[in-house]
Amino acid sequence: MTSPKVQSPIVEVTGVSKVYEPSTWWMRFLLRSAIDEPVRALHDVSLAVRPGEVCAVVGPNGAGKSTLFRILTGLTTPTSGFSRVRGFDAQHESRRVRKLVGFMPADDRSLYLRHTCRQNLMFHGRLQGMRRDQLHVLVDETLDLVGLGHARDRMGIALSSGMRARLQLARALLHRPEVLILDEPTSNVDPVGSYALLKLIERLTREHGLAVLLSSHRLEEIDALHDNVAFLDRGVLVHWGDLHSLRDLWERPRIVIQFADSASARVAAKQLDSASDVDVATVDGDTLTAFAGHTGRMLVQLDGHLGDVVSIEESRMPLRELLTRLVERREV
Amino acid sequence: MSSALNGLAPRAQRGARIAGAFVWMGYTEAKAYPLAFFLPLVTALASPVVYYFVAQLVDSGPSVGDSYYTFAIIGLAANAAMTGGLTAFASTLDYAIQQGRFETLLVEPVRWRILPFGLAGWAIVVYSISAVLQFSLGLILGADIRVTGLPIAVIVIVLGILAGHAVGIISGSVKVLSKRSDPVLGLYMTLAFMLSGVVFPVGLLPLPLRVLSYCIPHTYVLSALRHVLMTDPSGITGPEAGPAIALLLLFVALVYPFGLWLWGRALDYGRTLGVLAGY
Repeated sequence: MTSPKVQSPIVEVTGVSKVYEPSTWWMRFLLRSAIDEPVRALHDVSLAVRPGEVCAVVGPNGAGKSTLFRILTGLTTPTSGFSRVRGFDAQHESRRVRKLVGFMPADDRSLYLRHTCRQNLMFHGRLQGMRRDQLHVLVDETLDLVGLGHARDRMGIALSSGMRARLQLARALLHRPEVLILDEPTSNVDPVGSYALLKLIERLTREHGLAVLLSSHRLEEIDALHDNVAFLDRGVLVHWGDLHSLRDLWERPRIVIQFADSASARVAAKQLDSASDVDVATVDGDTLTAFAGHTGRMLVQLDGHLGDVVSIEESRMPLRELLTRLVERREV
Repeated sequence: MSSALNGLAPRAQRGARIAGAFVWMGYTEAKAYPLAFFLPLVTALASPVVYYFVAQLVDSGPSVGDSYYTFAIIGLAANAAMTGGLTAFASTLDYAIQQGRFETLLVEPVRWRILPFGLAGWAIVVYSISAVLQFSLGLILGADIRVTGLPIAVIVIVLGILAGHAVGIISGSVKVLSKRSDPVLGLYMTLAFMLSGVVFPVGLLPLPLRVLSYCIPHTYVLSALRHVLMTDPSGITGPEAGPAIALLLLFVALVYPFGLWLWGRALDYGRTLGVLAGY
């Protein structure tokens, strides 16, 4: 068996741009247009996902995440470039692509909440043309797979948010897709539930060799997935690759120093301001927070004030700050 | 030829399975909200009762086949069934868009062309039940029909539902872009109720409107049904069953392909604008 890392990509997005044009005059007669001038949602985005990989698509609101997912599922066409799933063009061979893709929308309104978990899946299975006798087995297997086997006859309305998310995941998995596209799968789920859901997604990805594209606003979750990140900002792919390489490029340890008093903290901040490799982020009372390339060298700069230091804490830069800095750098 | 037929059979089976899935879902949804299912059926029974009393006031001349009540009951029941064909797709589509389910349907590996048939299935069944109930109550209240005309009447009504559904696909194609407004259906239904002779003979209309009434399939359905079901249809205006069936077949053969073409174009345009998933 070949290692997933050396397999060729199953999802390929190549030079994809999307410009939303304002509606024509006759279209405005039907529906009020959301825009008055062309809006660039994606610009020259390229990425690839291999079987067994999770690609987290992150970015602020309006970054183009949903547009990217819609292009991949054939719901929107790109203005230029192309996206392929196992070699099939998502624009022109949309139905073939949809056979290979399982999609989980952001909210759970699309579930039939007055129907049981089994009925929800049975409906979608029958839509996909599956025979009823096969479907019963497949539905039960899929519900077991996502940990809903015990709740198969429970109505959607009686499920917790976490269980509904699992039911949506089951629906996306029912036809045994090779690619999963999950639009903010944990958005309605509490932290414990979302951690469990992500671990489930991670396990399914590895065990079934799925290629997963997942968007989330919860960056600590992305951090926990230990896989690739596509960071979009205003339609532009700012970073694409594993988190480790992003950190190598950008990360400097965050050092929090507590002084004996606030005067010492302010004096130390002044002294560190002139140091080349140190950025003082905040001085809050007796506590100074700074980013430095090397902790030891930073402490040397405090020569004469080390005696006022009560404690030093070094930590990794939170992903949120890392990504904020990427955005800030683009703005500069 | 035989290989083409061999390929057609699995496709037809698959299509039937998908249409069946929608009908099954509609049925389970009706069971989930029983009052919402039964109440419209009960209110539909008001019309035969109202027209029972109206018929006491109206002269039953030859233009209404010597029984105004039978004339009106046939019109009301047929109109209910054809309204199902007309509105089923657009109203179910509207509900799916508002509920956020349309996006989920579009990402299923299902031919988008089958959605107008699948989405309409259950609503057509419900409207047909409503038509049968109205017709049955009419019979109980004294409407008099020729039972031998029923088989042809069923053929005519099925064609009428199909003709309505074909127009409904055009309406759905507008709705998938407009999301709420529905100019096609609104205009068509108003014209159909006014001009096709649901509760009065088309012959009463002024000539220009009478000419317009023959552009609407409803008119042919109603006239054909009255010709085959009424005991004395000699004074009924409009074509008899044979010509009406031929014209309805022609209408269906022309409007269905156009409707499906328009549906495909609307979806393509919606994809370009990026409005398919919104509401």
